[in-house]
Amino acid sequence: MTETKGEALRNALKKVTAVHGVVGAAIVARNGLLIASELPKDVDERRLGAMTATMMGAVETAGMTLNKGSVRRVIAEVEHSTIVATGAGQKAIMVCTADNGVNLGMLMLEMEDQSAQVRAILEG
Amino acid sequence: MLRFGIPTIDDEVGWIPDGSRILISAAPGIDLTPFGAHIAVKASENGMRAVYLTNNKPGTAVRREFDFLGFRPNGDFVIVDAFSGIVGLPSQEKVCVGTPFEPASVASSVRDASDGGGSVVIVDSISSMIDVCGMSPTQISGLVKEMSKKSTVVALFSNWHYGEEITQGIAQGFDAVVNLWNVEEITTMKQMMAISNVGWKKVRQTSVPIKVLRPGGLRVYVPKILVTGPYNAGKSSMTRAISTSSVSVDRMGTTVAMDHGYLDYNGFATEVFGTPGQEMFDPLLAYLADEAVGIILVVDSTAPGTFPRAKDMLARTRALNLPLVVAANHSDKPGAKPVEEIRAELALPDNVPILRTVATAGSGIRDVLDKLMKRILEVNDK
Repeated sequence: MTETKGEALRNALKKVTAVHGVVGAAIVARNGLLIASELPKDVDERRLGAMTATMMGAVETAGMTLNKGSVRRVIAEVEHSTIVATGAGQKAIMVCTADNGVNLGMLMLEMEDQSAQVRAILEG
Repeated sequence: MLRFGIPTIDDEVGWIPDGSRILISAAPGIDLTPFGAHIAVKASENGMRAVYLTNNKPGTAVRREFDFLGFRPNGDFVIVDAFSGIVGLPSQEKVCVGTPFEPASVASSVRDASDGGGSVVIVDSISSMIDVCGMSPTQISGLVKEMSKKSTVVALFSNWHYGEEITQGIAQGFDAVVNLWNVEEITTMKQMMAISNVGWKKVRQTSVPIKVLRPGGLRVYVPKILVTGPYNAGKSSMTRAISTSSVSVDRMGTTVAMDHGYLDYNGFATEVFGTPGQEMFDPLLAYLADEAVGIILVVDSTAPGTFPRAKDMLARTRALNLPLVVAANHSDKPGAKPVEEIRAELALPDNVPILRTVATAGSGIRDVLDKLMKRILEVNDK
């Protein structure tokens, strides 16, 4: 049996969460609605999704205001976590939360690969 | 009698006559246990005994699902264990089917458990009767008919591409068929529910998006409601007032990014997105408004100076193409404009409800929600 879109997306997310130090990851529509998630149960995934979309939207607008092009990724460091968000095609964003000590280079590489994958799945 | 307890489906189907046989048929991959649990809870809410026949998981797994959903069946609730007999393990349940492969044995255990009548038998699942027990559609129909002599039967069926003949054969043994399927669009993934072939009543073909809340159970799923309006109209208070739980990204008392809330109301589950009001945040409006299915425009009824801005925001969020309700807020303050004046100023058509509210006190809120949900469903119907 072929996998459903939802399963394919979750499999892409699992590759990201396999990076050492990553706590969870999700795919969010640019309009803030959650598409797929591999986040821990205690995380309010829909709220995180909505805020991720706003964060990306705000940075996108800031970039446009500066006339410096589109957003490659947003990295936010909060007290006990690092949040990384990157576009996954026209419609979606991939967001990931990790421990502060995470190997960012490794994480960004994996997110780049998997967000391309997600784009292919969604826009296929 | 039993009801599905799902808005719009209930409106169509009404009360389910005792002794009815209902098949819940789902596309592969949809977990049916929450649907079975939901029916069990509705049965116990209506003073009926719920008999849960399981042949694909142990009774403890059924109970765990109840816990996830936050259900505490209060009335009579019995698990009939047809699983232990299949896998050859000792049963933990009071009622255990001796020979789960034989329809007569299943029927007799269910009869014992539903003694006295007035009960609902939930069959989880028909698929395992076919796959594991090797029963034919005719045998299954006979078994279901036998069970329905004393009880209403709701049977769960994962349709693993059995082919037309078996699917038809199964469906023929039932008075009504509820279909569940997945919808996968680019950015929305949801489950749809529709009911057809209802034997006791003529129904219109309606389908509703469904979501399982953990905890909470089955709800009609409305993905996104947008709350917008000019600066200081009371959008955050409105989002807070209509949401079961909410957060606001605000600085110095005004929203700078968005408000976000969950609403669980009258069998509906939705997310509420509140926009900032100040013009400098307008670029965000497009993101927040995208794919909204309903809009609440909040205006300060004492401040007609802000009405042009409200009109502008309606255009930016393309609100006039969507179910829209206007909340005339601060309606308790002196100088609040009458509803008809607001309608004229905003150039709104007559069919857009304008309702007087005081969001901070929660007054008029239920009206706003009722009107909005009604309009969303009307659009859904078309």
